[in-house]
Amino acid sequence: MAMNDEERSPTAEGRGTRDAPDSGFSFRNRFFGDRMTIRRKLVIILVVTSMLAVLVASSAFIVLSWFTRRQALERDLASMARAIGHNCEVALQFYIPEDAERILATVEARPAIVLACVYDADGQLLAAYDPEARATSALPLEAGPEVEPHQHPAGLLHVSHPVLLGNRQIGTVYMEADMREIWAEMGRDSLMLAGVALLALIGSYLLSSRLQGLISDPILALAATARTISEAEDYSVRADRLAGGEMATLVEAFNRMLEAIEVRDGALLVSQKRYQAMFHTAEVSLWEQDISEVQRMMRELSSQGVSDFRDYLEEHPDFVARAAGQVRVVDVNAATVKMFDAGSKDELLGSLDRVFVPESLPVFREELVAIAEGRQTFEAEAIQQTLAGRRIVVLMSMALPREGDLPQAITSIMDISERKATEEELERHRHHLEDMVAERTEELENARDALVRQERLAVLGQLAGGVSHELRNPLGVISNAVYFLRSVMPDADDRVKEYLEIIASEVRSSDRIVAGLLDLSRTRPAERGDVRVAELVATVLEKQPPPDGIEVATDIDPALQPVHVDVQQISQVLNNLVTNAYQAMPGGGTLKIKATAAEDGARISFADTGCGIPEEDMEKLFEPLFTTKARGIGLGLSVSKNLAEVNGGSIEVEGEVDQGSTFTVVLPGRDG
Amino acid sequence: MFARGWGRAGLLPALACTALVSAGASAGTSAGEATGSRPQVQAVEIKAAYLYNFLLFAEWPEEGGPGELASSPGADAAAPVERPAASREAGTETVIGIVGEDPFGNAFAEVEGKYDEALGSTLVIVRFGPYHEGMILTPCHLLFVTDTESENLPSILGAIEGSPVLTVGEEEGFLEAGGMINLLVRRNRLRWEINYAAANAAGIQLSSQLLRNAVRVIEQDEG
Repeated sequence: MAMNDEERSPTAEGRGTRDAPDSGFSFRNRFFGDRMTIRRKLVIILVVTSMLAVLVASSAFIVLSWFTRRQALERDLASMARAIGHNCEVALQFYIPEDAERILATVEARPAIVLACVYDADGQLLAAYDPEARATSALPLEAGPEVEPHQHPAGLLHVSHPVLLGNRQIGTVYMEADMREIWAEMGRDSLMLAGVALLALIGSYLLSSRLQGLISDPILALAATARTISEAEDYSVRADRLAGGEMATLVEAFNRMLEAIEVRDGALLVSQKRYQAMFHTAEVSLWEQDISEVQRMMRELSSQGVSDFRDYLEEHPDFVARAAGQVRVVDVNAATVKMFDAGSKDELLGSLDRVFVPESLPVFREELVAIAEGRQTFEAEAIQQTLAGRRIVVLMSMALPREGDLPQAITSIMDISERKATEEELERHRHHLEDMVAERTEELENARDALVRQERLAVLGQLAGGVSHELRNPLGVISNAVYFLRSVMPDADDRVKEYLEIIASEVRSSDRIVAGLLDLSRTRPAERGDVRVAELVATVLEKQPPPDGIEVATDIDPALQPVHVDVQQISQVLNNLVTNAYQAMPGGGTLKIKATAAEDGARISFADTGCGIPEEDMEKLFEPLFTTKARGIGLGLSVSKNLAEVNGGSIEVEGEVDQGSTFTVVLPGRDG
Repeated sequence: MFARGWGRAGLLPALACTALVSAGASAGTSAGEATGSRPQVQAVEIKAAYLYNFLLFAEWPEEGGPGELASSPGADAAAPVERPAASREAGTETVIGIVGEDPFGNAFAEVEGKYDEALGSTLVIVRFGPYHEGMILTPCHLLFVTDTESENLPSILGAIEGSPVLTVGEEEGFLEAGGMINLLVRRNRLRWEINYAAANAAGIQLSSQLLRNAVRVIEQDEG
């Protein structure tokens, strides 16, 4: 079982070693290879180690024996030289070369010695043993007693031994030996050692093949357990316990680790479930997105030297669109399905294309900037569309993964369309309220003005009523008196008649003023009836023909509908306006009377070419007792305004100094 | 060369070599021709060198030191033998005695009376002149009997009998008369023959190398 597993795939092992940054470790990997089994490794280690030991021992032995043999040869050579020297004393001293040659001939027994010479004290050759015919005659001798044997470059040993008699040197023995013997012996030794090494190799291989199980079996058992666990993801499995030793400790530690993993796995599962529950039941729309491809694109962009991402993305909308296409939606929750009008969540998985609209892209661009800058969160308001094609404004909040962090980006989305709408509504209301307040304020001001005017008119009316009443009687008396005098004095001279006429005229004038005052004090309710504007204007102009120098031009829309007013009151109004216009043009001019249709009636304007009205006077114009005329008590316009308003109309004025003034009366139509 | 040889306090093989040339009957030996540039060396000088060399390869009994007259020949024979260089102290002398007409002339001039490294002692030459009765010869380490004393040979040898004196002669019958080393010429070279028994009887140990190179060795007492 274990063997099969081992043969099949040691992938976990390979993965572990590839990740290791340690260079030594990777060296061992190269040496052994990733896929080699632990058994083979053990065998190789054991065999290589033992071979190395054998090799080192053999090498040491060979080197040592070489040195030993060489030393022995050197010692041999030295002792032979000493013996020869001693034996040659007489030969040297009496000069008997034959004797020396006889002695030298004895070295024949040693084939290693290739040359032996005896020199006299002067360095002259006395005798030589030279079987290989080395150039003995040419051999120089500069040897003294201090010469030590050493190896020649040609692989020869040589020794030079002084022959002493007492303290005097009487000659020298010189010998050379080659090392053929030694090499031959070394060759034999090496052969033997190679045999031993071979035996050791075979022995260590057999032995290690059997013994590696001691180490590899528990490891392989452990590995098998680990594989079972990783494949089945069942962390309740435990490795078999061992009796003792490091492997037992390892197994113990492994099992403890498994316990810890089991606990953590459980906790992880709970956490995972909790997360899933939260994810799927959250009221907020939640998305899991795989943005790894987008991150890769942004990294690539960065590596191309782009530093201002916002600028770049604004200039390359196609890149933004491409990036948007690379986002993969991995999961969404129920709230999302509901918010985006989807039938099931599968419709939202995969691409974002279905929820993105062109307006979504600027926000996505900002998201790309956030990704590029490695931010962890991103928040924005965005516009997206639901699968039903409904546009919604959303507040999105993203938790962005960084390298080696969360695998997915988690995005929460809140539909703030309604809030947005409400905000806009509120804004609109706010503006409307302001308008209303302004309007009301104006109305209030107008009402206040009217009230003031009416109060003033009321006071004035009472006063005028009282005064008029009191003045009417004396005026009547004066008028009667004038009438009497005229009748009793029909023959009075012209002067008297003229003065009587003056009196009568002034009484009439006073009576008109009194009548006006009375009109002011008691404006009677309008008795309204339909009347044509042209008719009204014609009547007024008939009563008051233009004085000399003044032209009147009328422009009345013939299609104008009749107005619904009190004819007497409105005639008085028009009369006043015409009078004012005449008086405003003492040097002559043109009065243009124009009547057009208004919203609910008619507009009749009286434009003169007179002196105009200063701006500061405009407001006071319609107040009672305000006048710019030398003769006038300031009741005309005030009364006119009253009358127009009683009839549901109004009077406005506009104009500039020296440009003339235009008074416009608006009168209601039949339905007004 | 000769002077240098003596200066180095030893008789050089070169000297021996050249001496042979003049001593030999034929003047055209190979050695002589090969070293033709060398000065002619007298045969007497060779002979002198040989005497000196014999000192180096013979060993006297301990009691046989110079200046002492050996009185107990029996004890001498049994006494341990050593090389002269080792047996003598720095202040001692090694004595060569010459009986008869002195043939050497100035041959010993360079070394005579001087300390010799090889010997380890001072070399003394005693020229006795013609033998006469009562002459005391025993203080010598080596006694050279010239050919002029052949008549007195038995007397001379008798006078030193029992003493450790190495006797060297140069005539036929010297060994038979009881002498120890006799010089003779063979094939143009000066050689020697040895009466080993006589030397042994005197307690003098001769080097095996001397024996090996002797023309003839008398091992047993012929008498």
